[in-house]
Parts: sequence; structure tokens; C-alpha cells
Amino acid sequence: MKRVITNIIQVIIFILIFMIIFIKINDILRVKVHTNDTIGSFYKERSDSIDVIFVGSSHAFSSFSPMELWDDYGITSYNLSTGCQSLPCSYYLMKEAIRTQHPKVVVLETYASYYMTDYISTARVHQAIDCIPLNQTKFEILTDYLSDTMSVHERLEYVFPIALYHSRWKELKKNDIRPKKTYLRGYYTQLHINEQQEIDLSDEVVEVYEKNISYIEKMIHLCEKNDVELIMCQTPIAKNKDYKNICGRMKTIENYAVEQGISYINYDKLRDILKLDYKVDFADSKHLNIIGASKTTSYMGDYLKTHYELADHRNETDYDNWVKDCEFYKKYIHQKKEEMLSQRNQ
Amino acid sequence: MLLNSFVFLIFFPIVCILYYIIPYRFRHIFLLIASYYFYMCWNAKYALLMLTSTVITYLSGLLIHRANQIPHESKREKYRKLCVLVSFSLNLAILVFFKYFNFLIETINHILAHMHISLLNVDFDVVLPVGISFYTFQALSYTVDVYRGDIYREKNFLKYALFVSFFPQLVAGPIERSKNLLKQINGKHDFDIHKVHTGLSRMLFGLFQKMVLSDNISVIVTEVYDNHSSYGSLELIFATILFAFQIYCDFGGYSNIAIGAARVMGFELMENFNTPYMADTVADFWRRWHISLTTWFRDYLYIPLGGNRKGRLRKYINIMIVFLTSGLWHGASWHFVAWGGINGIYQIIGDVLRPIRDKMAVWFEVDRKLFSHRIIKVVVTFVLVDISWIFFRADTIGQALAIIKGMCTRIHLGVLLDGSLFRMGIDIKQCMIVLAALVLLILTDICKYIKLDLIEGLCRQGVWLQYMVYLFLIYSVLIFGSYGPAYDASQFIYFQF
Repeated sequence: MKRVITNIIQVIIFILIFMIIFIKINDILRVKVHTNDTIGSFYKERSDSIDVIFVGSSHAFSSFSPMELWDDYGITSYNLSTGCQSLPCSYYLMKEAIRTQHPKVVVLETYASYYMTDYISTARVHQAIDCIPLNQTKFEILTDYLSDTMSVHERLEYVFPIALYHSRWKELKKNDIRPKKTYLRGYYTQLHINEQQEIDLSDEVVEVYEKNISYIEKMIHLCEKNDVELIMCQTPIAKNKDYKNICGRMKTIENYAVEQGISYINYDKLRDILKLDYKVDFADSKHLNIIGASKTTSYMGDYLKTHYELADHRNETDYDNWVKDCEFYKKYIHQKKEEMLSQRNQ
Repeated sequence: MLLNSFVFLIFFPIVCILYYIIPYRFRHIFLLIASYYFYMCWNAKYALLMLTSTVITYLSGLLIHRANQIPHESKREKYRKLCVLVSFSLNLAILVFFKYFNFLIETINHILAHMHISLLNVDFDVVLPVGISFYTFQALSYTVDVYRGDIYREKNFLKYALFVSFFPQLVAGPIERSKNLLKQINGKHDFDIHKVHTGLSRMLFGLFQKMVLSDNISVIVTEVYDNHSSYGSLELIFATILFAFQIYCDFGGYSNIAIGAARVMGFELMENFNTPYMADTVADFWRRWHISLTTWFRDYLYIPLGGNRKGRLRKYINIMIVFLTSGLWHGASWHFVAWGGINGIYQIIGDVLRPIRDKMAVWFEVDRKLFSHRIIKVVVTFVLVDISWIFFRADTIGQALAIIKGMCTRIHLGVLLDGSLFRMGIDIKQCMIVLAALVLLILTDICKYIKLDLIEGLCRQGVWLQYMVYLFLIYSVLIFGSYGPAYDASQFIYFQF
């Protein structure tokens, strides 16, 4: 009997050691470039320290800078957007954000309503959800969201990302082993100026993918249940090949949001108020650069301050790291803006 | 289902737990169901084929037993031989049809084309059933063993069916004998922590061989062999040496997983590889390589042909028959036959030259027991065996000859200096891992050669050392192993938007 018990204890200890190493190795091997590590860094934020969350695709991470919201309004926010983030992924990230941070406001950028599939590519799904720990949310992702399009085998890659990333061992860098926390808090600095043309505004609607509506519905329920305010918005875009479809699908979502009594900010219609300069503010036809992002962020800050009771944390001692990060950020952005403008003038 | 697949990782623990929970008298039924499920995961229809072989050989056992009761001696012998003949003919007919049909048609067409006769046109494609060569031989050994009276016939069909389909060794051996496995199926196996422990360790080492060594080496070998005309002699030699280890780790690793998995459930399968590259003659190599197959051919082909009892010439003919058949058993293609033939010729030459070698050893006063002498023999044997592997690995005999020619003629030593030798198909870092793992493999083989049982020894060591070794092996497999979807960095890194 004694031997059986020692054997069982030995096996349990082995499994525990194995698990600890397994989690660490998975974390080391996963890709850590901007959009991949946004979510990883998010989990390192002090819990309940963030009041506003942004979710959405690359449009959102190019348009809302948490550091500027902090500097101008003292609002703590985090941008959980990832490249080509599908609406289902936004929903699950929103869920994780509410679980860990209990934010007061969640902002959903609706460009993803343009997508007509469950996801753009499996790599995009990995970028969005790899860092979600093995919890109920992850389980739901695998059983509700991915079960329609992926085999059990493919879904297991999301449980054990090592299956996908293990061959990365040969390209590991220092940042993989001890990843730096991103002080940008999910914002991505677009550093190019690319002259663009204004789009023609229209109220035409284009049909959207059914699943997208159902996940927006889920987001509304989720926020209601947790007493979180939901804002939906569409960030400015410039003329491109398919802009009519993009705007048409987002219009469908806008109409739906208004029907449901959800605040909707259509930045395309606000271009005069924002004084958006299509010659300067864009990095490409779909993404704002840091100059444009300052305008959208600033409008968002005003909107949040007037419509919601959000505390100004700037003088609280718990937020010293925000002050430090912001100083660094301001210097960096200022320098980059000058560089960009002087390059353009040349 | 493969033993190194994710599904097996789930299947195996479930089977083991249920196996030890179920009462003794139902265990063989449970294992039989599990084994058929295992096989049917690959192709459900082909399980019927295995069942057919099982039924034929099972009946042959019963009929031979009944024939043994016939009082009249010549009639008895006639009847007994008929049973063996029918069992062999039917089983080999199935094997030939499913494994060699396309090969036969191609060969016949080739001959007909030379004679300017129109070709045979066959419109269906035969899929090779997994493991058919293995289970057919295993089932046939039962017929002969009952015929020879080495084993009593098995009355219980389910137990016999389990003997043929026992999942750990079903698809890639070791080819078990009824004398060993059937007896164990009839026995009781209590949960034995020591067996589970050593079995799992062995499986883990097998996985390491298969996934870290064999699968990674195969990338290099495939790259070089597929583009052999663009590589020089050193690259070809390097790839050929690596192939010797690829095939050893592939087959040996798989056997280790099979033997380990069986041991976890209390079964002891026969050893299949015993440090083959430590052999000091080609004959010795064959006593150490794929032992279950070599002994099968010895017991059921070489000895019935007369073995070495009918004079020298007959002995050599028998050796050639065995090795050519063995070549064909490995695959339905002439280059496999050539590989078998070369190994047969090696042995005959070795046998013919023995008196001369003995005389030379006396003349030059060579002490054959010395390490310095033995190491040369081991190296020479490895070189000979490795040359034959070229024919095994190449797609055709012509390609094998072209590779040998390339080895002798395209000598560029530059590859040694610029490191390109280590960048064939894989990254230089990956190549270093493969070479390091190879050193580890050779060290473990040396230990085995000097009769040091590493697994037993490890299981007696302190827990911390066991943990370290297991974690090292598991994480080597998880990180360096070849599995999972191909990771495409550009999808993850370069698309920011």
C-alpha cells in the first residue's frame, strides 16, 4: 500500500513538473510580434486596472491609442485588436477582458462585418486566441466557434499551440524568452504617410454574414449581463477597390446597433469635425497613421468623458507605470510625427 | 492509426485502463475489439482481409490437429501437408494480389513490350493494406508451428484472432510467433508497476528515435536522393550514412514503441533489433537486424529448403532465395530485390572467403579479439550494409547506380568548408540537433552492446534522474520532433494587418 501511494505521488509530481514546463515552453515558442503579443501583454496588466477596452481588426489597432487617452483624459484603456480579427474572436476577447478587468466601457470596431467567412485564416485565429489560457472561454471557442470549420485535430492546435510552433525553436530570440511588455497597450504605430481620396458617403446597405450578426448579438448580451457599456464604431477609411461593400456592410451593422439602442460612432461621417486630412492622415487606404490616429483617439476621449463616468487615474499612485510609459510614448510619437512630416515636405 | 500519432496517445491510455479494469476472462475479447478498432481507423474494409487470413489459418490449425488423429501414417502426412499447402497458398495469394499485383503487371508488360506484344491493360488500382506483410507472416507461422507440433492448436477463435491482430505489433512488427504471443494471450497479466514503468520508458525512447531522428533525417535524405544529380560525392555519402540511421530509427523506433506498449499491458514481445550496426560481419548484421523477420525466414523458408544440410551449393542457393524473397517482402519493386540480392551475395562471398581470411589472420599473426581489429570489421560491415541501403532507398536500380557513380566521381571538398553539407533540406541548427541525437543513439547502442540495460538501470535510479531523462526525451520529441502542421512564419510575422 505504501508503495502504491509513493508511486502515485511520484507520478503526480512528474505531471506537475511536466505541466509547468509545458506552459512555459508554449509561451516561449509562440510568435511575439506586435499583434500576436498584444493579447499576451494584456494578461500581465494588473486586474481591474483598465476601464475601456477596444476590440476589432487592424483598423482599431491603428486608430485608438490608449496612451493618448491616458495623457489627455486619465482614462486607462487597452486595445485588444488583432489583424483581421473576426467578430467571433472579438466576442471571446471581450469576454476575457470583462472577466479579468471588469471594464466600464467596451468599444467594438465593426470593420470585421465586411468578412463573409468565420475567419480570414487560421493564423489570424491563432494571433487572436493563442494567449487565452485553457479556460471556459477557450473551450467555448473550440466547441462553438471553430467546430463548424475545423476537425478535432486542427482544433487541438489551439489547445497545444506547441504543435504549430515547435519548429520555431531555431529562430528564438531574447524577446521570445523574456517578452517585453508593450507600453503601447495594443496600439500599433503606423509610420507612413500615403495620400488618399475621400470616399463618397452613402446610406446603402449590403447584406452581412449571418454569423457576424449573431456574434454582435452575443456581445450585446454579454455587456448587458455584466453591466458594461458597449460602443460600436467604424474608423475612417479612404477610397479603395471595395469600399462600397465595406461601408455597406458596416451600415447594416450601424442600423442594427441603432435598433438595439447601442451607441454607434461613424467616423466616416465625422471627417469634417475631425478635420481629417486625406493627404496626411492615412498610412494606406484602410489604416490611419499616427497623425490620423490622434484625431480619432481624441474624439473617442471626448465622447467617453461626456457620456460615461470614467475616473481620471492620473494622480493615483497605483498608475505610476502608466505615467512612465506615457512619457516615453510622447517623446517617441512626437519625434516620429516630425520625421514623417519633414519627409513628406521634402 | 499509427503508434506515433496523436490519436494513439489518447487511444492507448484508455485501452490500458479498461484492460486492467475488465475481468481476466473478458480481456482477450476487449483487446481484440481494440485491435480491430485500431486497424479499422485506417480502413474498415481491409479489416475483413485480416479476418480472412485469420479464419484460414485458424481452420488450418484445427484441421492439422484433426489430421494428427488419422492412424494411417502416409495418409496422415498427406492430409497434414495439404492443410499447410492450402493455408499458405490462400494467404500468399491474398498477399500477392494486394501487394504485388501492380508490380507483376508492370513486370509482365515490360517483358511483353520487349517482345513487341500489346500490353495488358488493367483498370483498377490496388491499395496496399497496411501491415498485410506482417500479419500474414505471423498467421502463417501458426500453421507451420501446429504442423510441426511446436504448439498445440488454439481452439478459441477470439484468442487466435487477437494473436493475429494484437494492435501494438500489428502494422510494423515485430512479427510474433504463436509459441510466444499465443501463450501469453492465454495467460493472466496482473498490473505490474515495474512493467508499466519500463514499457512506457521504452515507448518514449522509441518515439524519440522515430520522431527526432528518423523523421528529421528523412528530410535530408529525401532532398539529396531526389536531386542526386546536383549533389557531389560527400553529400551523397553523408546522406547515405544518415539513411542507414534513418531506417534503423524508423523501424527500430517503431518496434520499441510496439514492445513498450505491449509490455505496459503485461505482454513480452520478442526483440527486433539488437545494435545492428555493431555487427562485425554481414551475417552478424542479419542476426541483429529485424530479428523477427530474419528468424521467420530462417525457420519457415531456409530450413524447409534444406538450410545448410545439403551441401555448399544448395546452401548458397538457399541463402539467395531467402534474401531475394526478403527483398521482395520489403516492397514490390526490383530495387528491393536488388537490395536483398546484394545482402545474399555478401554472405556467400563472406562464406567463400572465410578460409582465406582465416589463413591470412594466422599468416599476419592478427589477434582477432583485439578492439583495433574488431572496429575495422564493424566499420567495413557498416560500409557494406550501407552500400546495399542505397538500393533500398533509391527509387530504381538505375538511380541507385547513378548515386554510386556520383559518389565516386563528383568529388568536391568545398562543402566541408562552407557548411553546406549541413544545410541540405534542413537548417544547420536542425542538422546539429540530428547529429547530437545520433551521438546519443550510438551511445545507447554501445551500452546495449556491452549488455548494459539502460531502461532497467534508469528505473532503479533515483526519481530526480528519471524525471530529468523523461522530461528530456518528451521535450525533445515535442520540440524537435517532426509533427503537426507546417508552420509558415510569413503568415504570422509579415502580415500585420
